[in-house]
Amino acid sequence: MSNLNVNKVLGQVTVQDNGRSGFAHLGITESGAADKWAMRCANKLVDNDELEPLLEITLGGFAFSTDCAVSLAVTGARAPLLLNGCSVDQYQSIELRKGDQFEIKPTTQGARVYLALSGGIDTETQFGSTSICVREGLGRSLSIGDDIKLLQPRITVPVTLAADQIPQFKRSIRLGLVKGLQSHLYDWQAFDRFFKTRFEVSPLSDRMGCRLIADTPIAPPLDGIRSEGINLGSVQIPSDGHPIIMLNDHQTIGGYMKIGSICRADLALLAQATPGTEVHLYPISVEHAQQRLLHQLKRVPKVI
Amino acid sequence: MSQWRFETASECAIMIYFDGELSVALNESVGQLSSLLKERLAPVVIDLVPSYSSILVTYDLCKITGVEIKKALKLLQKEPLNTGHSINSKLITLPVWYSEEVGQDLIRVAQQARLEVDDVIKIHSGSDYRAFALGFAPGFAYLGDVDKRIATPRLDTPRSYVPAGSVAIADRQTSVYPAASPGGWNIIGQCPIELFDPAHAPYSLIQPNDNVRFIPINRESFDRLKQNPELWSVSEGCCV
Repeated sequence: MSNLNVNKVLGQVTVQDNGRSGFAHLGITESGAADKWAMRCANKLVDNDELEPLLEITLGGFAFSTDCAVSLAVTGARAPLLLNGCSVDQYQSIELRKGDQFEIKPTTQGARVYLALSGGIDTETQFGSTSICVREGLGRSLSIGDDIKLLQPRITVPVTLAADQIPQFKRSIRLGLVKGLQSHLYDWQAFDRFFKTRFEVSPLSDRMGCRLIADTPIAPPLDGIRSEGINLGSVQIPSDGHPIIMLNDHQTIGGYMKIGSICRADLALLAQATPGTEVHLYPISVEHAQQRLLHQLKRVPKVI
Repeated sequence: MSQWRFETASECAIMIYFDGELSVALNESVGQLSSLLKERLAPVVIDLVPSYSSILVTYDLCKITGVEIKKALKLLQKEPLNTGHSINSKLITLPVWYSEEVGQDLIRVAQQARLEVDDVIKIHSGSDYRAFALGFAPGFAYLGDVDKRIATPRLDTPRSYVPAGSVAIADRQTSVYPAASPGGWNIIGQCPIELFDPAHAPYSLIQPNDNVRFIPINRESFDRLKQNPELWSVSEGCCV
């Protein structure tokens, strides 16, 4: 059996796939790669199934070697890559020979880097998915000295992702909000203020939720509601008026007021936003959000 | 037959609400409608999250449009709910060490309620609670109703870290955090018993419809049970 040996870990490194479904009624969240497009591109570049389990590396800082030859690809946030000390590019397949040292430096733009290894990795499936959710006790994040078994390591045809499919990471992002649930409890002027408010991503954000700091917090009309199911993208407003947007490891039930949901097509932008990133919300209709989501799900990574 | 309505939660999620005062009967209707939805909409539904008086339905936009699922729900609204099948319910007894050492909000809860700490403990452990919903985290049961005298609102800003086993109150709800997690509830004590086991079905010790009773224990018993949780019988409510 071939292995990848972890030599250096700075941030949180977890195995992720497309996430789990069918267990939310027990309190088990969906998990899965926070930036699905980056996951699909990384896998496509090394000829894997687009939803094959891969590594999600928060803020970069990950080094390893393998005891066999294997193709890999690194997508998502921008981070310098070093192959035996020499700089190589992201968003392309990279050939690793036995014993080569590979390093992903800390990110320079964006928050989450994805590393796919051709032929896949051997990981435990729990509740229908290999995604690790540390908070739920489903697996743990990787640390120095860990070995990851490579299933069928192979060298694939060298390819690069089409340039127009590589996302940009900006210091200011706009997120579409589908209004719903308790949004009607605000009068329209108060609601309008959400779209004029400048928010900033808080350093307390993680895979569970992204906390935003409002320039001028808008206090909710109710401190809490009867606890109810909560979905990916839901925007909770706790009493302090600073929103929390649900990301992939979100809780399944919550009791804070919600003003609606960020459209899924914009969630990768948020998952890739580093602390301090400026955030603005804009209204989007359900129908438009559905079209954009379908378009995103059907978009195929183009390699050349 | 209970009346229910539905609303948009997101571009691929719908929230179903049962209107009216919260009651055991209303919560049982939630369970019945969840079974019906599972039966009829399984191929297009990604997840169902039943709660006190609501069900969150997440659906697969690649398999059904928003318009179609609303049409399907409207048809289901005309059907009576199956109130016939019996509902399983068991009594689960959990030991709790109530103390400010592990319950950092215990004193504040007592102050806000204008009660002695001992009275808060007596009141919290003095009634049985129904498990209205399972969620937030694996095995986290929403238990109610907490006596009005000790009902305490959530924290203005949730804490980033609440230790596993924390017994907490939020308004008229109470629960035990099965694992360490962020949380905004008022912590009054700690329970040494494991509530969630991912290796064995049905995974969660507490299931919807169960009743839960808390038994105050001292530090010595807490330490002993923390080491050997198997000494406690949740059905007997004492050490075996």
